[in-house]
Amino acid sequence: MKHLSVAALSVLHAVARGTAHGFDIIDATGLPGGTVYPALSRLERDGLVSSNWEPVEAARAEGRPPRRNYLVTRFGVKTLNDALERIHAMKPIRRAVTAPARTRQ
Amino acid sequence: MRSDVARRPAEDRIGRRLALLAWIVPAAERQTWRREWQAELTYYARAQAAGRMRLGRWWLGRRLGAAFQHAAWLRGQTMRVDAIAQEVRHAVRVLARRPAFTLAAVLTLALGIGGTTVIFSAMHAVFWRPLPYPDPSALVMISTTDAARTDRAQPNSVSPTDFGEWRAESTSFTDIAAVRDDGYALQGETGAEQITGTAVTPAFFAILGTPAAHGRTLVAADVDAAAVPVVVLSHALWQRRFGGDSRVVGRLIVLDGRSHEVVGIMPRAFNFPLGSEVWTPLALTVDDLTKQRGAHYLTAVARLTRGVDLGRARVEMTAIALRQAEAAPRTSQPARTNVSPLRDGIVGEGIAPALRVLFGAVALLFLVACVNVSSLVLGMALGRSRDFAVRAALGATRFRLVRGLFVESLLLAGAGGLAGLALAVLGTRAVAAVETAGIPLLDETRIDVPVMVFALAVTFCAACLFGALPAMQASRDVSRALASGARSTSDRGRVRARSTLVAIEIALAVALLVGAGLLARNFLALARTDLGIESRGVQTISLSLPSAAYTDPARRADFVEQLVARVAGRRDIEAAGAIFGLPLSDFSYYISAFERDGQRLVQEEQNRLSVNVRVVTPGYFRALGIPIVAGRDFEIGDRRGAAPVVVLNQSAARLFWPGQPATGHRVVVGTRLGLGGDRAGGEIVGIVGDVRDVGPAAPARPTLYLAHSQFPMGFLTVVVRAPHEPDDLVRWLRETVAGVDPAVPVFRVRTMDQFARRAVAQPRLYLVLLAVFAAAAATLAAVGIYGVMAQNVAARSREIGIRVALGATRREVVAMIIRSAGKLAVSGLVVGMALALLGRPAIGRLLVLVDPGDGVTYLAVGLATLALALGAAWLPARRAAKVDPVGSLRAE
Repeated sequence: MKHLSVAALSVLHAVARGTAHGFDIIDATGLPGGTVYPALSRLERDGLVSSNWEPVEAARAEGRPPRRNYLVTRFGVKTLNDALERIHAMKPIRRAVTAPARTRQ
Repeated sequence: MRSDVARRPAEDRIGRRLALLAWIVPAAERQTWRREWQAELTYYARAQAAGRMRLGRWWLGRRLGAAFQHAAWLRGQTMRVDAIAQEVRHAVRVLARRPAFTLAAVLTLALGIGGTTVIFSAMHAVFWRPLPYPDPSALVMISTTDAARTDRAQPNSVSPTDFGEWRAESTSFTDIAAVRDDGYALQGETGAEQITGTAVTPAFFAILGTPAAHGRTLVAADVDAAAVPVVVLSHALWQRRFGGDSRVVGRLIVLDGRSHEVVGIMPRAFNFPLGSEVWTPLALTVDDLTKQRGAHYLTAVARLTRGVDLGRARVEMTAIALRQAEAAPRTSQPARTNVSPLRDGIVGEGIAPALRVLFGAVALLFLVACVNVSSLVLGMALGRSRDFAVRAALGATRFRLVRGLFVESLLLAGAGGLAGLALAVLGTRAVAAVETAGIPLLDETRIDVPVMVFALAVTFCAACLFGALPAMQASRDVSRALASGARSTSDRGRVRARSTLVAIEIALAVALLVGAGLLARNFLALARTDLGIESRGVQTISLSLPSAAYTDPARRADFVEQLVARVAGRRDIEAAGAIFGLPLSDFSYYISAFERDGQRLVQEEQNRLSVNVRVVTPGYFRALGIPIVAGRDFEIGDRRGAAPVVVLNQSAARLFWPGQPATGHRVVVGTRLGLGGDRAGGEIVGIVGDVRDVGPAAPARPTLYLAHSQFPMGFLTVVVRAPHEPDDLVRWLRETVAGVDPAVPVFRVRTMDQFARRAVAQPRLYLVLLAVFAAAAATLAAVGIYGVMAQNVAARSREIGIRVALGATRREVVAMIIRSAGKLAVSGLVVGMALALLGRPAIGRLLVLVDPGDGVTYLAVGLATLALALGAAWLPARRAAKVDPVGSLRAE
């Protein structure tokens, strides 16, 4: 399993929550389209999401072309949850060891 | 449903854009990609139209941007570095296997790219590179012009009073400085040297925003008459005369016989006015600033106040000029005040159209080079079409084949660009060093970052230009081969495409040849123009009398009289004289007439009867071969105290007394050279022939000559006619001057022929450059004709064999080939002539004596082109005639 970027993680998360179409994912994640689509393509290539086309009848009823649906795979859900667990395991920082501020010297 | 119909065009537009972007996507994913984006965009557009969604104003553009990024990302996934490296390796192998082709293509491109880069770098130096002063765009030159003159800045056109009033009244400028061109005799151990200098008001350096590199610049106290005279040195003079020793600051040097303290040295980049070697304080008295309205000899530079633009400054200066005109109607009234960017003032008129024509010409040459290489690549592709078909059959996509070709094009162009840049480095050095022909800033030509960027862009353009057609051909071949499964490909189509390219080459070359021909005819006409002097065998030497030692006019007159007498006494010198304001030396001293036959002229008459004023010694007319048409030359007897005398040239005589002899009449002009007074003139004792003293391009100006002994000037050129041109003449002249007074510097030692050549230096430079471009283009076109004919013969050898077998004679075969070459040449010729006719207004700016539609030139170019085409087709035609019918038929 390759490394998942934060952007890919948010996209995967959005798909797993049921956001099925590319533009809706853009809106749901707030990421730029130029980030979301490559992430989707990569997730699909790695088998974390799969895609199919919206039923033609539904689209035809509205007189528009059918949209592409993205769905999370089982492997995708597992990967997502593993990553989320790892993130949750990290506690918020209260007293950080920071570099001394320059102006104080 | 109705709104459905209304929305369709917008969706079509989206579809078209996506179709374009889809080419980026790898073929395997293209269909899916397009469907998805089309669906999403349509869905959102509908939602917005139906009011279900509110999208920002730019959402569509942003989403299309995202579509592009997605497409590029998908393409990037298929392109791996190793694949590209492999492509490059393959291209290198392909090119290395055909060294002759590669060399020819690289050299051709080098010529095109190098030539374009040289001309661009020259234009960059003259027009665009920022002047080396802080915030140079705020620097302006203020000048005054007659109504008839142009809007351009005119140096040396401002009077002290104009300057004083502008400085007091204007608010658009941080300050205004007055500049006066000057020359000084710089005394050294080895004798005096004439240097170019400038007298400036102290604000000058602050306006240009440049402090001294060593010491200081001028301050207000320096103009005080009681102060020690001070001088600021240029970097060049400091290096040349003082070895770059900074201890020279504070030392005394002798200028014009007077000690000056060196207070500062300017940095190397500081070069204004161009060529100035020293700057001294310019003292303008209250009298100057209030009463010197008519003497226009200053140049005014200023810096715009922050927030004031050129337009506002112009408005203000025009208002001041109007106010001045109302307050005091002036004797010689400049009609308007100009404010122009400093660069325009430095570069002046006439240069921009010339350089634009040259750039256009070199761009044509560049196109010829690209077309030529395109034709070469097509020719090479001819042998490779089978290779393409096989690769396509083995599964290479069309995209990969075209990409491979494009990589080859880029490699070729890159190599051509590098070679071109090397050529450009040599070219710019040559331009900067050899022939500036009086074009300001041209000697600053060099290859810097903007020029490199230009060369890079040109190289890329070249690759696209010459690579496009062969790539299209190849891709068409591949699809055809794949569709029909046929092995044979469209060699015929390639030959046709090559023929078209060659015709284009001929057309471009014809346009260039016409331009070069016109310039050549113009130059020849200029060179043949009678200047009114006999320049052969005439030596000149200029000198300037140091003003401190020669304040007394009588001393000046004595010096010159003595010198001319000594020079004329040498046995092999036919005639000698001296003049203030040598012809062809860029000297202008124009003065309005004041009285005619004792009657004071009204204002309009004074202006209409303006004349060029010159001061000469007896012998000058004879030395330059200017004929005395009526009356007499000046004589030794015309000295101070005797009745003042005047000689006019024929134009001036006609101007003052049209239709009647001028001798015996009297004329007086207003001038500052008079002794004590400000008028000069007298009885007209002689009429001499006209001299075109600004060069062959301009008509002779009405000129009034005064006798030097009556109006002794401190700046003179000695003119010596020595038909045998003795070797020691110049040295002897220098010694003779030093013999009379060693403190008098000698400079600008030139023959009159050199002056005459210099007067046509710019037309010659333009001609030489354009001729080189045209010759290169014509050569490339000839090579193109040869190439396509040779290929034609090779491709048709079977057909020719059949013809010969069926009884065609050698002559008929040759005629057939020559005919097809002729057809090419004629079609190129027609287009090229049309192109040349379109370019008439541009080239017309460079022509003085020849009409831009000159029939002789067009005819000559037409004949030359036909001859060139036939010559280039001759060898292939001979080869066609030798085709062995049996052999060619057996070959298949």
